[in-house]
Amino acid sequence: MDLWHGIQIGLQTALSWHTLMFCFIGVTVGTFVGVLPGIGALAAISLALPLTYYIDPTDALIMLAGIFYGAQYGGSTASILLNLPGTATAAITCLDGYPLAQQGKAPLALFVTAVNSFVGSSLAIVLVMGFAPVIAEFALEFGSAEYFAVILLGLVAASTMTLGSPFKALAMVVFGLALGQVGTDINTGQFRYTFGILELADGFSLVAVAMGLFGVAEIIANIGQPQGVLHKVGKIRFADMWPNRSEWKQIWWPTLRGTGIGSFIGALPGTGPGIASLMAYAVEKRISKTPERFGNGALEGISSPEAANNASVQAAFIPTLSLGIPGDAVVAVLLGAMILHGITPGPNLINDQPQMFWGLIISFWVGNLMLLVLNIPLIGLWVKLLTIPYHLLYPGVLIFICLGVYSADNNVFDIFVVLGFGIIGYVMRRTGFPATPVLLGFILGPLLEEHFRRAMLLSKGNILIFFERPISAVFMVISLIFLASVFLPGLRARLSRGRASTAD
Amino acid sequence: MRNLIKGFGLGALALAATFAGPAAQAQGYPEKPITIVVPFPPGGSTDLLARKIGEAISGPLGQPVVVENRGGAGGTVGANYVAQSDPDGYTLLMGVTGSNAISAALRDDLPYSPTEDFDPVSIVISSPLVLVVNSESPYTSVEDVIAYAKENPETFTHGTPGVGTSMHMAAELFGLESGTKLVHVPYKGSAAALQDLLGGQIDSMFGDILVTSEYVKAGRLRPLAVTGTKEHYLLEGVPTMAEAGLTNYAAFSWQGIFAPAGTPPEVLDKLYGAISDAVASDDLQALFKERGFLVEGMPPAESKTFIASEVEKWTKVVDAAGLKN
Amino acid sequence: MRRPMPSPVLPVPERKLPKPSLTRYLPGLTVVAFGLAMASVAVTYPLGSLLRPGPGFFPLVIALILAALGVGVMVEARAALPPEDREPFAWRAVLCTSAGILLFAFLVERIGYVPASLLLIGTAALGERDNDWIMMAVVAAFMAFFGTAVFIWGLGLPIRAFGAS
Repeated sequence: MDLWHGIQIGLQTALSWHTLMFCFIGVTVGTFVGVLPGIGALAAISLALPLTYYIDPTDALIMLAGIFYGAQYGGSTASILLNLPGTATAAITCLDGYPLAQQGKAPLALFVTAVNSFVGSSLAIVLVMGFAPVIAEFALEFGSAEYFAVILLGLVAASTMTLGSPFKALAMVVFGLALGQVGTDINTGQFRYTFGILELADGFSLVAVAMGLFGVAEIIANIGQPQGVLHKVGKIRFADMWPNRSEWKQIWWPTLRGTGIGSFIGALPGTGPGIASLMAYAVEKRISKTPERFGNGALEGISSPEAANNASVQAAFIPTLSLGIPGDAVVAVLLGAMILHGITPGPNLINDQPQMFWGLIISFWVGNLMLLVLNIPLIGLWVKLLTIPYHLLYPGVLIFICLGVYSADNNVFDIFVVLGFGIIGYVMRRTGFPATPVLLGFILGPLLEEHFRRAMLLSKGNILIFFERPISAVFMVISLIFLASVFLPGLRARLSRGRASTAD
Repeated sequence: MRNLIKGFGLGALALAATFAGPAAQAQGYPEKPITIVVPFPPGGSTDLLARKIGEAISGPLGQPVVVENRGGAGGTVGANYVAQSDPDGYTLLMGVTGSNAISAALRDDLPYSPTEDFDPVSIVISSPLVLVVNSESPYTSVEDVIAYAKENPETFTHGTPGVGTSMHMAAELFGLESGTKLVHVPYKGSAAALQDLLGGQIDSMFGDILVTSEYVKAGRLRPLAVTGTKEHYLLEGVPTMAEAGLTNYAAFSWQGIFAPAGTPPEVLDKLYGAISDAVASDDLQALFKERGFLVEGMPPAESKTFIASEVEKWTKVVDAAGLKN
Repeated sequence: MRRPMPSPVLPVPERKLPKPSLTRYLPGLTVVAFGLAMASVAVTYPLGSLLRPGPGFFPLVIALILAALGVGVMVEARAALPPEDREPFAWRAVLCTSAGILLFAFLVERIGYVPASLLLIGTAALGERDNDWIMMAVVAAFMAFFGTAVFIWGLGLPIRAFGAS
C-alpha cells in the first residue's frame, strides 16, 4: 500500500464524527491530567483503559493516545507557573520555565511550549508516517551494548549541565543512581534495599520521587513566605504571548534539534520522553554560547526539551505500530489496550489493520492541532491561577499530589514515599543540593546497570564489546569527547582558581 | 507499616466476625458488592479476565462486582493484600502462577503462603507457552537445540520477562529435563525480550502463545515446541515438548480466583457455581478462544490440590536450578 | 536528616575568616554517612566481578563514589564563603505538611476521601501563621467536590467519598 492511499484511509477514519469526538475527549483529558500535578499520563491511561472496553477499538486507541500526547502539552503548565513538575520531563521544563514566569513572562513561556510541542509532534509524525518500518528495523540493531552506550552518553551529557557547586551536583547524580538501586535486581531476582517492604520490590515510583523532591519540597519552602512578584498578573494580551523577532530566532534551531533528539530517543524502545528532554536540554546548554543564561530563564531551555519530549512520544509509536514492541511504559499500556480489543500487535499490524494504523496516525495530526487550538486560549486561564494566593492553593495541590501518586497502584505506600522525598527535597534546598540531578540519576541509573550487565552476560564478560560493535563504539566515542570537552577546560580553570585561592 | 495498621483493624473485625459465626454470615451471601483484586495494572490479560468474569457473575449473584487493580512486585503486593483481607467472600484475588505458586518456591521472605493463606475458588484458565527461535537461526527442532546446548554448555541463551516468571520456570524445567545448561537472560517485561529475540541478540525464548503466534505468522520467529500436553489451536502442527522428546515435560501458566483462607465453604461453593456458569457462557468461551486460553474451571477442592502440586513442582525446579533468594 | 538552626544569633567574629563550624560540614558528612551505610548493605549481596557483576556490585560502586563525593562536598565547604543569613529552617511548615499528608494516607481508605481531604487541608493550613479560615473552608469544600468528581467518579479510584473502601 502506498503512502497516499494510506493517508486517504486515515483521513476517512480520523475525520468521522465519533472519532473526532473521542480524539477531542482524549486530548482534553490529557491536557487537564497533564496540568494537575501528581497524576501523569500513565496513571490516567491506566485508569481510563477499562472505560474503553466497550467502544470501537480504533476510537479507544485514538482517545487513549490523545491522553498520552495531550498530557505532554499540559505537563509544562504547572512547572512553569508553580515550579510543580509532575513528571521527569516537566522537571526539565521547570529549570528555565519557572524563572521565566518569575520574570513575568509566563504567557510567553506557555505559548512557546505549546508551539514547540506542536512542531516537535508534527515533525515526528512525518517520521512515523514515512519511515516507521525502516526505523523500527534499525532500532532492532540496538542490543544491550548499544543501549548502554546511548544511556552513558545521556548521563555524561546531563551530569555536566548542572548549576552551582559541581561536587554537590555530582553527588546528587550519584544519590539518584543510589535511589535507583532500590528494588528487585533484574538479573537474579534479589531484593535490594527493600527492608522487607514488598511495595519497594519495584523500586520507588518515579512520579512519587519527582513529586516529592520538587512538588512537596516547593510547597514546604513557600509556606509562610511573603508572596512574590508572581501574583501581579494583569490582563493577558496576545502580545504578551507572541514571541518577538529575536525570540523566534532564539528558539528556531533549538526546536529542530530537540525534535531530532526526541525522535531518535523515542524510536528506541525502553527509553522514554524523560531521557529525551534531559538530553535535549544538556545538548542545548552545551552548544550555547551563553550557557550561563540556562537556569535563569533561557527560552532555548524550554523550547528544545519541550520539542524533544513531544517528538519522542510520537516516535514511540514507531516500534509499537510496526513491530508490536512498545516504546515506553505508556505505549505498553496502549498495546495492552489493543490486545484487549482482540488486535494483537505484531509486524503485520500495518497490513492487517490499515484502518487502525492510518486512522491513528492521522488522528495524531488532528489531535495536535486540537491541542494547539485548545491550549493557547487556556494560557490566560492558567496564568490567572497565579492570582490565587499561595496559601489557598497549596492545600489543594497537596491533595492532588497524594491522590495522583496513590492512583498509580492504588496503594497508600506511595503517599509515604512522596512525603519522605518532600522532606529530603526541602533539606536539600536548604543545603544547596540541586534536585534535578537526582532525578537524572534515578532514571538513567537502573537502565545503565541493566544494559551493562546484560551486555556482559551476552558477550561472556568481554568488556571490549562496547567498542567492537560499531553503533555502540560511535556513542562511546562521543561520550569520551563530551567528557574531555567538559573536564579539560573545567579542570584547567579549577586548578588555576584553586591556586589563586590558596595564594590568597 | 500499612499492613500492620490494617492488621489491627482487621483483627477487631475478625473478632466480631467470629462471634457472628461464619455460617450465619454465609447464608445471605452476597449482601454487598464483591471486589476482585487484580494484582497488576489495568490492560493485561489478568485484568481483562477478571473484568469479564466479574461482569458475568454479577447478575446471577445479584450484587455488583468491582475490579480493583493493586499492582506491584510481580503480583505479590495484590496477593498479600487479599491474603490479609477478611475471609468473608467480599474480597477476592485474580491470582496467577507467579503470585500463587512460583513466588512461594522462590522467596523465603514472602509475607504470605500461597497454600495456607488462600482458599482457591477456581482455577479458571491455563495457557501453555511456546519455545521460539529467530527464523534466521539454524535451529529447526528441539533436538537441534538440545544437541547444540549439550556441545556448548552455557552458550545457548533464552530471554524471559524476569526471574521467577512462568517463562523462566518453563526454561529451567527444560534445562533439567534435557540435561542442558542454557544461559538465562532476564529482561524487564516480555516485550524487551521479544525485541532482542527479533534483533538476534538472544537465541530463544519461552513466549506467550498469542503474542508470539503473530510473529510466527509474519515469518519472523520459528516455533519449536509448545509446553502443554497437546497441540495448541493457535499453532497447529507445532509439536509438544513430549512429542519432541522430553516425555515428562509440561509447563503452563494459569489464572484463577482465590479467596482468603478461612472463607466459609458455602461462600466458595456459591462463587464457584456462578463462575463455572460464566465460564461455560458463549461470551467467555469466545474470549478464551481468541486469547489462546485453555478452559479449566476447576472446583475449589481440585484447585486446592492443583496449587499444592504446582508449588511442589516449582519448588523442585527452583531448588535444582539454585535460584532461591 | 537533622540540621541545626543557622547561626544568626551566634556572635560572628568580624573580618577574620569564619571559624569552620560543624554546621558547614554537616551536608557533606551526611552524604558520606549515607554512602557508607549503603555500602555496608551492598556487601551483604553477592558481588560478582566487573565482568560478571552480581546484585551487590553496582550498589557498592555507587555507594563508594557517593561517599567520595561527600568528602568532596566537605572540602568545598571549607573553601566556600560563609553562608549568608537566611530565614530559619521551616520546622512549622515541615511538621504541618507532614502531619497533613500522614493523616490523609492513613485515613483515606478508612474514613473516605472527603473527611480525609478536610483533615489534610486543615492540618496543612496550620503551617501558615495567620489564615483566612473562611476562604480555607471554601477551598476545602471545592476540593472535596472537585476531587470526588475527578478521582472517584471520573477516574474510578477504589476509594469512597465517605466511609471505608
